[in-house]
Order: sequence, then C-alpha cells, then structure tokens
Amino acid sequence: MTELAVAILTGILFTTGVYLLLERTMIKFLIGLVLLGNATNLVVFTCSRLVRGAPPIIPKGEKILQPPFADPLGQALILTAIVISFGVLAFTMMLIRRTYDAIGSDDVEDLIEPLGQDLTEKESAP
Amino acid sequence: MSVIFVVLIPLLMAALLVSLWNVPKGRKIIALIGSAAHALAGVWLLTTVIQSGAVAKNISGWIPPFGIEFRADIFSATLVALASFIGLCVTIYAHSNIDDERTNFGFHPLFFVLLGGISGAFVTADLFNMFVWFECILLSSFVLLGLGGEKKQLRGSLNYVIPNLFSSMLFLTGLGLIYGATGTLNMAQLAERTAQINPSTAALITVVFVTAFGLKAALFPFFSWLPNSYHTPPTAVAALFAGLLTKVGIYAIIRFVGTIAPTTAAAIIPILTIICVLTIVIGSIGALAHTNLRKILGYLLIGHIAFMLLGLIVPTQASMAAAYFYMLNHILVITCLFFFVGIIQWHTGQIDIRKIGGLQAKYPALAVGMAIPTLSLIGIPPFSGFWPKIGLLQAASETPLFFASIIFSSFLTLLAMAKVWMNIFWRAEVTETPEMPPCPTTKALPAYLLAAIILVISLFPAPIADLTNRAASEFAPYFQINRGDQ
Repeated sequence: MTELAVAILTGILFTTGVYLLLERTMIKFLIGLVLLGNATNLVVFTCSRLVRGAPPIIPKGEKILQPPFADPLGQALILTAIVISFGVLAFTMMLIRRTYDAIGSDDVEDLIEPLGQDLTEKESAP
Repeated sequence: MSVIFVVLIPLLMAALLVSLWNVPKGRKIIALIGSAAHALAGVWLLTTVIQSGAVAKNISGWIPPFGIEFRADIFSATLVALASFIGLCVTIYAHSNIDDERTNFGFHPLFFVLLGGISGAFVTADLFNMFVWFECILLSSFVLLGLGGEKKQLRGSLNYVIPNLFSSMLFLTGLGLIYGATGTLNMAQLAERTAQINPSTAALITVVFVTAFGLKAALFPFFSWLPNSYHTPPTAVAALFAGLLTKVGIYAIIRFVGTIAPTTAAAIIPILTIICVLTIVIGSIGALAHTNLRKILGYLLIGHIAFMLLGLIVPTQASMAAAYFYMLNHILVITCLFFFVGIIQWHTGQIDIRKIGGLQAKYPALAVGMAIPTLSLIGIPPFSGFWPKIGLLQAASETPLFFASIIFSSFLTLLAMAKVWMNIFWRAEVTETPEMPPCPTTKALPAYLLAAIILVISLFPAPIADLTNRAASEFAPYFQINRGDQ
C-alpha cells in the first residue's frame, strides 16, 4: 500500500519536474531539477523495497539475516546520489547566476546564439 | 593489481595539484609527468590484458557481488590506453593553450578528475560505480567548459549542463529499476539475472539506460547540445571532450546492451537502427550548414558517432570489430583535427572558413599535417578511416538503411571537408592577417604526433584489426543470443 502511494508521488514529482524543465525560465528549470532529483531518489528507495521497522541486523544466535529487513544498499545508493546531486545543484545555481549576469536574461531561448553570431565574437583563447 | 592504477594516478594527481593551488611554479611540469605516468599505466594495462586476458580487482578485498569490482578486458583496456594517451597529448597542447587565469582557477586538477572519471567509467564492473564516474566526468567537464567565464562559454555551458543533468537523472532512475528487478548492481551478476526477469520490464530498463547514455553520446534526437557547446572552450578542452566524452556514452551503451542485458537487444534494435540512421543523416547535413570550423567538426562528430553502434545492431563479431576499430580511429582523428583547428586559429585568429584563406602557400606543413586526419575522417583509401569503413559496410549489408546512410554520410563528410579545404587552404588570402609569432612547439607536437600515428595505422592496419577482433570476441554471448533475431 505504501509502495503504491510512493509510486504515485514519484509520478507526480516526475511530471512536474519534466514540465518545469521544459519551461523557458532558468529558475523554473532549477526547481524542476530539484523535483526530478527527489523523484529519482524515491524510485531507488522504493525499488529496494519499503520495509518498516526492520533494520538489517542479524539477531543473536542466528547466522544469516532473516527477511523481511530494510535493504541498506538502496539507502546507501540514495545517500551517494543525494550528495552528488547537492554538488551538482549548487554548481548549476551558480552557473545560472553567472549566465544571468552575463547575458542579462533568464530566458533559455537567449542561450542559443543566432546562426553566425558565434563567428563575430572574438576568439580569445585559440 | 594493475587495473586500479589507471584510475588512481589521475585522481591522486588531481589531489596533488589541488594542494599546490597557491604554488604557480612547476604545476604544468607536474601535470605533464602525471599524464605521462597515466599513459604508461594505460599501456601497461593494455599489454597485460593482451598477454594474459582480463584483469580484475576487488576494491578493499570485498568479493564481487558485495564490493565494487574493477575489470578490464581488451575492449575497455584499449579505450583506457587510448584515453590516457589522448590525455597526454592534451596536457602538452594545454601548456601553451590554457592561459594563466584558467590555470590559476584549477584547470589541471579538473583535467585529471575528468581523466580519472573517463578511465573509471571504462574499467568499472559495477553499474552504480559507473554512475559515480559519470558524475565525476560531468562535474569536471561542467567546470572545464565554463572555466574562464566568457560570455559565449557561459552560454555553451548551460546548453551542455541542462541535457546532461537530465541524463544523469535517467541513469539513476534506471539504476533504481534494475536494482529492484534483479537485486544486484554487479555487471557480471546482472548479466546472469537480466535474462530471467520479465521481458517487458527488462526492455523498459534498457530503454531508460540507452536514452540516458544516448544523451551523453549525442544521438538523435538529443544532439543539439554538442555543437552548441563544443565550440566555446579553449582548444585543449574541446579536443579532449570531442575525442573522449561522447565515446564514453557509446561505450556505456555497448557495455549495457552487449554485456548486461543482451536479451533485451531484440526489442530495441529496430528503434536503435532508426535513431542511428537519423543521427548519421542529420549530423552530416548539419556540418554543411555551418562555417564555424569547430561547429563543422562538432556536427561531423555527431554524424559519425552512430557508426559505432553498428556492432549492436548487426550482432556479429565482424561488425562489432569494425565498429570498434572505427571508434578507436575516430578518437585519434577528431582530437587531431581539433588540434589543427587550434593551430589555424593561432595563425589567423579566425575560426570562420569564409574569412580564412591562403594557408597552403603560407604554411605548407600545416596543410600536409591536416590532410592526414581529414582524409582519414572521410575514409579515403588507404587512410585509417577506410579500413573500418569497409568492415562497417560489409556488416551493414544486412540492414540496407544503415548501409545507405553510411555511404550518404561519407559523401557529405567529403563535401563538408572539401568545402573547408578549398576555403582555408586552396584559395588566396581573403583578409589581411596580422603577422603572428610561429606556432608554439607544444601546440604543434601533439597535432603532428597524432597525424603521424594515424598515418602509421593507415599503412599497417593489421595489428589494430587483430586487436579489435579480439575485443569484439568478448561479446560472443551477445552474438549468440541475438544472431537469430536479426
């Protein structure tokens, strides 16, 4: 039951995330990225099975772990992914800020140079 | 033992160079030594693998399904060796190409993280670990692309960052799905288990992964980021990106479909064929539309990248070997061409082929040097691009559409490069160019060295063909499973 709820939540996050990615303003793009990142983490989390209150600890006297137990690997993966996405997000935020300062617009359309304009700008670093 | 060094050396070099952040002297020399050590490690790994078969190493001694395994077979070891060699060439070129400002802001550490990420992605035998290496590549390439903060660079960076971030998310989603379906992320174990899961789930997972990797490889319809970003950074960075980054995406697709999920190939081959054909056609046509030398090369890169997937589309050893040969040759050729374009830019200060002219009379050595990679790129016999192309055409005779698109692309490449050649070399000088000091040796050396290597491969292709044949034989299970489906 929880899995269904999380699946629906993931779907909503993916939809809104992709919708925002397709927007033209860069800030919306950034928010879309956050939502997509969360959706992805939820997918990994759900795929390693949702188990409540069963830490992966071998009981005294037993030799191996008895199911059901919460899979620690999935959570370790998410932890790695969260750290990475944190760094990426911080970088993207700064990049968008710098780009906004440089081109004076947060419209993605302005990122594409008109055909031929790339030729008129001075080549500073051959 | 040896396999880990190709990853460790660049990462340690990055750490060392970060610690020397405030010591401007000697950084370039240290970087050069580090690159040379990396190249040596790469060649050593390759010779070990050729002599005694695949090498594996369990990190911290954890046995495979629990720990992360690094594994180099001929297919990955050759790519690592080539990548480390290209890294060495780029370090030499960067000596005079990367200005002090960029060096001060950490060009060298970033470069080594990128190189470590590329090597890691080639040798890892764990799918999640591959994701981590991809992120390494991604973050360092983001910064390298934007380093310097010129207006056009920032534009190019965002064009590059947006699709690549999306591709990472897809990669991670795919990881979640495949872990949920199989309960493992080790490639060898995945290969055993993907055959047992529900075929439609398996196909879904493969589509997610191929889309994620295809975005990085600039396949249709996700290619527009490449020509919009590769013309902005300094030549050394652009040459490194063009030579290696898209090939990492191609490697990942071949590794995923060829090794991890061979049973799903039947479901995606028809789609992959269409995507490849469209990539080839659109990339080649795009090259004709532009007059910016680097953009022309960027589009040609897209047009040629899809050839390298023929080994999956036609599941025979011969086609995989030809596609692999093509890939190795293309890494050398496109890096070499980017170097030569950098030299042209040095001499003329221009990158627009309409404004450059008369180079043949002024710099005959440049014309001779650049002719080699150009002819090889087109595939004129007996240059090195010709040998894999024969193999590709023979293999593609099973899929007429692909066959036609290879021929079509060869003609368009010829046309695009002929246009470039007639403009910049054969016609008279069009604009007065200020007298420039002679080209620095550090720029000329890697360009002519690569051209010489291409020439040697052109004349003696047999050892490379033998090597690629052995590399392709590592995908024997894939051919066995899929031969009936074609």
